[in-house]
Amino acid sequence: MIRQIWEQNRLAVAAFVVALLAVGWFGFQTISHAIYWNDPAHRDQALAGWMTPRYVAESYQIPPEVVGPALFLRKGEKPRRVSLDAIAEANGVTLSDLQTRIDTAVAAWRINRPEPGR
Amino acid sequence: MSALALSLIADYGVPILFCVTFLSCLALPVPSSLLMLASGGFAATGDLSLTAVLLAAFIGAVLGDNSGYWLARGLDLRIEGWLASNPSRTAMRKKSQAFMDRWGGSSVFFSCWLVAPLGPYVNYVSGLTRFTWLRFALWGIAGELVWVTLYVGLGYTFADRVSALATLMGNLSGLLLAVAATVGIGLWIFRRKPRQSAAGRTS
Repeated sequence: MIRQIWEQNRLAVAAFVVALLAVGWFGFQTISHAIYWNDPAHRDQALAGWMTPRYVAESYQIPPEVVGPALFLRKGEKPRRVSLDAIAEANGVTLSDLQTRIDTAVAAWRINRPEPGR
Repeated sequence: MSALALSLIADYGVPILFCVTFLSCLALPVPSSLLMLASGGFAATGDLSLTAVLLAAFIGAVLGDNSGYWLARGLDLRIEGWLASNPSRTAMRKKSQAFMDRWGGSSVFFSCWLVAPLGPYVNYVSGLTRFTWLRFALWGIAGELVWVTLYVGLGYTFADRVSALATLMGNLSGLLLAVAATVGIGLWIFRRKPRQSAAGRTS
């Protein structure tokens, strides 16, 4: 039966096998990513050029006052939508410099006020 | 491409989202799902207005769907003679029309969000087979409502994990498409009668 199907529809059977392999691949990827990101230790997102200061605060679950100085925002400056790429360029630093500044600020803040559940 | 599109959202806001959802409905390779997740995240942090994000994504998607439909319908008028001049092309066209008459509404609806990578092509097929525009438009609006609400809503709810969410949704979307292809091809193989295959192979 299988041999007959294969001989009569080679192209379709090949497409079927490829689709089945794709199901396996995407299924594995979906489940493994879900498991990985379910672990709270993996939740801090690396900074990316598109993020805004408020987005960084939300992502690291720290107040904007902690993020502000680390991202060269002047004290009392109203938060606005500006990308980290723009901040890095305006201050002549790289994104990884900003990451270091944020990591330092976050670590200092978390020592003083450890987050529940972490 | 994704990094550039995300930076554009941060710098210029919702007009970028509108353009990207519009273009994605015409089968252009732009990261619309990722941008909707990120815009939802920006809405949660207060960088963008939630209403503006939802409206821009929704209107862009609906206009994009309908542009694809009317482009294909215009093309159909031009190639009508070419289609009619060959029996196998005519048969193919009749088959597609019969399929769309029966399954058109649900195809349009589900290809907007559940198997979103197929969306633009369903728009083109709808136009080419001259599927009733009103049915197309209404099912499309319903589908895009689900698509936009789902992705912007997820981005809004899990704003602190947009990057991880984008990977997860990308894989999930690939999984759904692969499942749909497996079921579709499987049904096609098993429904073919063995004696038809000799003729089928040559056509």
